[in-house]
Amino acid sequence: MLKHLSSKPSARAAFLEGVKTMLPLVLPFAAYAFVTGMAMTKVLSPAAAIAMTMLVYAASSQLAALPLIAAHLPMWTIFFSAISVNLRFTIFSAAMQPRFGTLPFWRRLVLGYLNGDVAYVLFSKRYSAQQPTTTENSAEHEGYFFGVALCNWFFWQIASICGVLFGQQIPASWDIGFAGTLALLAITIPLLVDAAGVLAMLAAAAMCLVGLDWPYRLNIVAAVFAATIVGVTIDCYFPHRTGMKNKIDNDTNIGNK
Amino acid sequence: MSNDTHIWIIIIGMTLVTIITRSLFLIMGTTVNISPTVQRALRFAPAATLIALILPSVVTLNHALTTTSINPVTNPKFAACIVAGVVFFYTRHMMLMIGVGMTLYTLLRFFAA
Repeated sequence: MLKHLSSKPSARAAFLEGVKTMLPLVLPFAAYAFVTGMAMTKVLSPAAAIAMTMLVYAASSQLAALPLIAAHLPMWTIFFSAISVNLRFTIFSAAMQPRFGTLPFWRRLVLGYLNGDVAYVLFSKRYSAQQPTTTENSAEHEGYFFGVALCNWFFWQIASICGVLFGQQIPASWDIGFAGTLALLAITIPLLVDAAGVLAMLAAAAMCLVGLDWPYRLNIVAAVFAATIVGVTIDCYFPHRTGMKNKIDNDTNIGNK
Repeated sequence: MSNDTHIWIIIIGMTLVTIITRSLFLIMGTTVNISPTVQRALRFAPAATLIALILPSVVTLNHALTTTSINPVTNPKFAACIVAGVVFFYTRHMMLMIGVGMTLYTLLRFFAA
């Protein structure tokens, strides 16, 4: 995978750009990873906690699983919870498919394993829907994704394992995980660029609070649907306000040919 | 089945579930065709996800939405997020924003206690 990418200078440059984009976020997310590792030791043995962070590598579904494991609930509830909490990634994978659907199977699988919130958000910000992946730039786009995602993965694992091993040294009352929340906020703000986006996010905000007590954190995927419905509606009725008009006209022309 | 085996089956199962959900459309490869309209609609997903991850942890206290928790004056976390958000909006400086947010959060809790 990396050997394949390193043979192309544009892919190598994009990989390094991805790493550089990720580096400032490493420290606050390390705090969040540390807290996640710490939380796991309350339910799991250190070995199981480290295995979970390395293999599952999905903080939100790991944290959702912990109370279910502690309560000795049937296994299927834990897997169902993981599916539900991960549904947003399935939506992300639909956006990745037109870009990377033709790559060899195992590379698509690795892309999927690394397709977490931060990696996908940064990737979709760098390469928007108006910049499709073609055969010429495929290696570059893949390089950027791997740059962000591997950098994120590497430091996340170190911090999470440190949390498992040394979590008890830091008082829970410090709430260092809040740094991770702030870092998420920092990557959200630049995404709110147009009226459709802002209104869509208000819909997401309302929906995630309405669904606060829903089981399996279904409010996350409900928020994504609410935002999409509101955003698409605004795109359709006020295309001139959202910068989508030219794009829609172009697509219509392609359709007419 | 021992408790240990039980945990390992859960970890392996969660690993498979996570990889499949995260790569579902990717592993379907070229058998599915995502239209440009759908691709444009998907652009709202990343920010909506982030909001849904951030907001419930910020505007609740002890996992409950109350008049105390949605008031920044009485919820240090919410107040710190608003100030940090404004700092980031104007400076685009992340470490400054996180420094301000963490400091304010700590101070507000200290004085509230």
